[in-house]
Amino acid sequence: MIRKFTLFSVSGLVLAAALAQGCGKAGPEAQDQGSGSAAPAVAEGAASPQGAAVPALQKYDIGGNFILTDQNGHPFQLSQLHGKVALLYFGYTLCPDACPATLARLTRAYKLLGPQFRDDVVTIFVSVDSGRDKPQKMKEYLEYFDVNAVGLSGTKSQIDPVVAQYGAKYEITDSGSAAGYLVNHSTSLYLIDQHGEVRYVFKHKDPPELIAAGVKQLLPARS
Amino acid sequence: MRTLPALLCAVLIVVFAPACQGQGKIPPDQIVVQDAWVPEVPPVGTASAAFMKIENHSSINTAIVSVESDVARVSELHEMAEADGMMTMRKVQRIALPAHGVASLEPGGYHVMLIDLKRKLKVGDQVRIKLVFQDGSEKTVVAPVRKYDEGAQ
Repeated sequence: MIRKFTLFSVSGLVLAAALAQGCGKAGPEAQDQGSGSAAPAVAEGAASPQGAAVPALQKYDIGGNFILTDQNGHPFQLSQLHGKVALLYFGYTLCPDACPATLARLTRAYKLLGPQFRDDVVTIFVSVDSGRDKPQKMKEYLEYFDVNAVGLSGTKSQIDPVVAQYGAKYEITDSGSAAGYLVNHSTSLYLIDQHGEVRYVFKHKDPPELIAAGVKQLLPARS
Repeated sequence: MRTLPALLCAVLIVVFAPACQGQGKIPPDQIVVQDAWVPEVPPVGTASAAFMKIENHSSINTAIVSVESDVARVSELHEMAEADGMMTMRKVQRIALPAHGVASLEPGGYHVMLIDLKRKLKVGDQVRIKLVFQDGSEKTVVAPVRKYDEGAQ
C-alpha cells in the first residue's frame, strides 16, 4: 500500500513538474504579429558629414502651374514664384509623424543652404485635408517651421487636380479613431526650378543633405 | 487509502494548471521602456505621437491593448506603413509584445497617438503615458518632449 502511495505521489509530482516546465512558454495565444518590432526597416540615408550624393536633376512629365488659396486667404499661383526655387509637399496638419518630420528635415536643409539663400527657396505645403485645414490654421502651423513656407489649401475639387498633376495621391480613411478621419498621402517632395518645372522628386527618407544638394544646383553662385 | 494519492494528484494538477496557460501577470520590473519621447508640434496642432522601445524580459507573451496619457483627452495605438506609394496610418487594437521580445514604437511604424491635446507641448515638458497590457499588467512611462530630429526620418 505504501508503495502504491509512493507511486501515485511520485507520478503526481512528475506530472506537476512537467506542467510547471510548460509554464512560461508561449501559451495558446502565441502572437503571429512577428517579432513585435513592426516598424518598417530603416533606410540608411546617403548622408555623410561631407555631404550626400548629389541628386541628378531631370525633366519630368509631371507638374505645372496651378492656383490655390494661400495662408493669408489670397489666391496663389505657382507662376508667382517665377525666379525662385520651390519645394512642394502634400500633407495635412493633423499628421503626427510624416509631415512634421519632413518639415524638420527641410528646416535643416535651409540651414545647410545658408541664410543668404533663404528668400530664393520657397517651401510649398499643400494640404490634402480640405475638410479641416483652412488658411488660418495653415499659417499658424507653418510658422513653427523656419522654411519660408507658403501654405495652400482649397476645396476637394480644387486640390484634386493639383494632386493628379504632380502624380501624388491621398485618401481619406476611417479607422475609428477619436481624431476623426485620417489622411493617407504620398510623401514625395518635388523640387521645382525657377521656370516652374519639376527637376527632382525626393523620397520620404532622403536626408536634408541630399535636399540641400539638389536645391543648390539650381541656385546662382553667391557667397 | 487509494483516494488519498488520487486526491493529491488532483490537487497538484489544479494548483499548477491555471498558471500554465501563460496568463500570469508580468511583474513590473520585467517590462522595460527605453527612449520614450514625444515630438513637439506647432501650437495649433491638436495631436502628437509618442515613441518608445518596450522590452519584455518575461516568458509571457503579451501585447499593449490600451494607453492613457495626462496630456491628451484620448490616446490610441496607431500603425504607420508605406503602401502603394503613400504613407498610411490607422488605429490598431493592440501592439504585440512577445516573451523575451521588443515592441518598437518609432517614426514610420507603431506609435501612441495623442489626440486632443489638453495643453501645448514644449521641449522640456514631461508627458506621462500609461501602457496597459493584455496580461493585466500596466506600466507608466514619463516621456520628454523633444523636437523632431532634423536629420532623421
